[in-house]
Amino acid sequence: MLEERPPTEFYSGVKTIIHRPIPALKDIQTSLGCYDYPTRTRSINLEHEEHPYYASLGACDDFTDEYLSWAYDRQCDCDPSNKPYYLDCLEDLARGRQSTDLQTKFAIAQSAGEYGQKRIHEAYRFFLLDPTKPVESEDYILGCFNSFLGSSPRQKNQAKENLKIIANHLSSTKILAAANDNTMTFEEALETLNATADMDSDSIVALAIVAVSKLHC
Amino acid sequence: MGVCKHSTREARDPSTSYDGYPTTSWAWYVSLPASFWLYLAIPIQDTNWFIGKTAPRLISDLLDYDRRFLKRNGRNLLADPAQHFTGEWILRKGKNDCRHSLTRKDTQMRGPTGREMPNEAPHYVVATYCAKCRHHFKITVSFAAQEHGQKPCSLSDENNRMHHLRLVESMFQPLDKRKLDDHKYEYFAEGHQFRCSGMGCPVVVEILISPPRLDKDDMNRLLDPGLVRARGQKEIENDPVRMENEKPVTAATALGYLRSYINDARNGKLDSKTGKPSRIAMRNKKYRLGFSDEFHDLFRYLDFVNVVDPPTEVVSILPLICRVHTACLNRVMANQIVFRRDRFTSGSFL
Repeated sequence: MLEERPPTEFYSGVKTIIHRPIPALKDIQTSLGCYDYPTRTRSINLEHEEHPYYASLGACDDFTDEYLSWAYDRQCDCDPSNKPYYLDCLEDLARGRQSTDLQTKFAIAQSAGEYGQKRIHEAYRFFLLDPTKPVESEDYILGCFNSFLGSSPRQKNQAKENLKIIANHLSSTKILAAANDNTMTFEEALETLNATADMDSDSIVALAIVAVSKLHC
Repeated sequence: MGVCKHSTREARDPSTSYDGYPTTSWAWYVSLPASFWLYLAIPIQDTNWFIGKTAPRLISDLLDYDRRFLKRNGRNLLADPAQHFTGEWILRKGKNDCRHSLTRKDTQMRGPTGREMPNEAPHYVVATYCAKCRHHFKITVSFAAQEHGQKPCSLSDENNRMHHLRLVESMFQPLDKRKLDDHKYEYFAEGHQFRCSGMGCPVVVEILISPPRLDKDDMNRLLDPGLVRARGQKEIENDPVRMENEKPVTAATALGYLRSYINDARNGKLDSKTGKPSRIAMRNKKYRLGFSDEFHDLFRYLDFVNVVDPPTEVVSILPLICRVHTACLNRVMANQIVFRRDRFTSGSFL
């Protein structure tokens, strides 16, 4: 408080301030074992506003890619129910930092069948379901899927992909089985072979052989 | 500030890989002296027990957390989990929130010095105050629960690079109790306990936050130049003969006097003539010009008492802080050590 008084208030009757306060940040960092941790940059910019995704991962924006990756892993281990959201954080930060390491990490997670929260919400909305509301029963979701197929048969593959994402999110084997069901209808089989219903059997067999040979080419 | 009403949290599932959490909310109470129970109206705040933050993140949140605006901001930056970002920008803190400039309180520190990394010491205490908003922050890092084979996280450990701290307990206390004589030295407005999620890391971090020791009214009376000058002028007019050639002091001068009184009391300064603890005569010119009769409550809060010197009938302020304060502190510390030993034996720590 004395240091903050204007100079005009001090005159010879007052003792000069001999004690200069010492910042405590280094002590706090050392006690918590993170003093001088590796950072992306040595400069400190107090005006810069960091992206909220860093706080969600429990990290800081000056973390190196390695430390950010570690923070992501640890947060997922501690809070697996929010892993899809953390994956979104990783994806966005990887893109924003233009980090190939983090982008690779994201790609590996995706190829292992993990999806970010945004993608999961997209999958629900594909069937006109509200992802923020309590999850409907499995049968209700399958009903929405079948209803969609009835009205938009040409989007079958896209529908199955989105159904698979919902199945993973809910850990539902029943929904997953429906998503992986490759059974075709008669009409779908004709369309696949470019055949018509009035063709004879030999013609259809020939078309099938052509289709298979095209696959192998 | 009212008492927050929250339900006690449920016991954590011990089958998870991150175990050892205190499972009852009474854990907080046991570490405090028994008399404190009477004044404690402590809620335990529900929170998400799984989300954690790295040590640098915790420090950043601590430096940005201004508890004065907790209600306005709607969330506790230190204790609450980070909000999910959904595309709309999240206001981390208000523009008037203090970005703390934490300063050491050397006499209360116990910690690693320089670049020395935390070792197997039982605990470290970093006692600080903010030079801007004057709140006090006490950070205790404990390794007391360390068992054989356990090792704290460190930058050189690839699997446990840093402490990843998860909130275990939070505590809030009503502000109006802080001036009670028995508890003012141990009062804290807010406390949080975190535990590291690292496998094999025993670290428990406790953060206690206290408001400024002098409230706004005291600060205003001490620092407002107009009030200080008027006080001095009144004293000069009341006793023009004795105060001849005196003039009102400045706020800096009055603060300097107060600092001297407190330092002398703390250092146990003795009167050279009597050999007894130094006194301040209330008719002393410096005292009159600096404080007049307006700060009896402040000096009482600082553990100064009024005594009457029979031969001269001079009313003096005797600093009690040398004897009672030290004894009180020793008592408190002893109680804390006893309780912590008990807690250590039972496998939990505060």
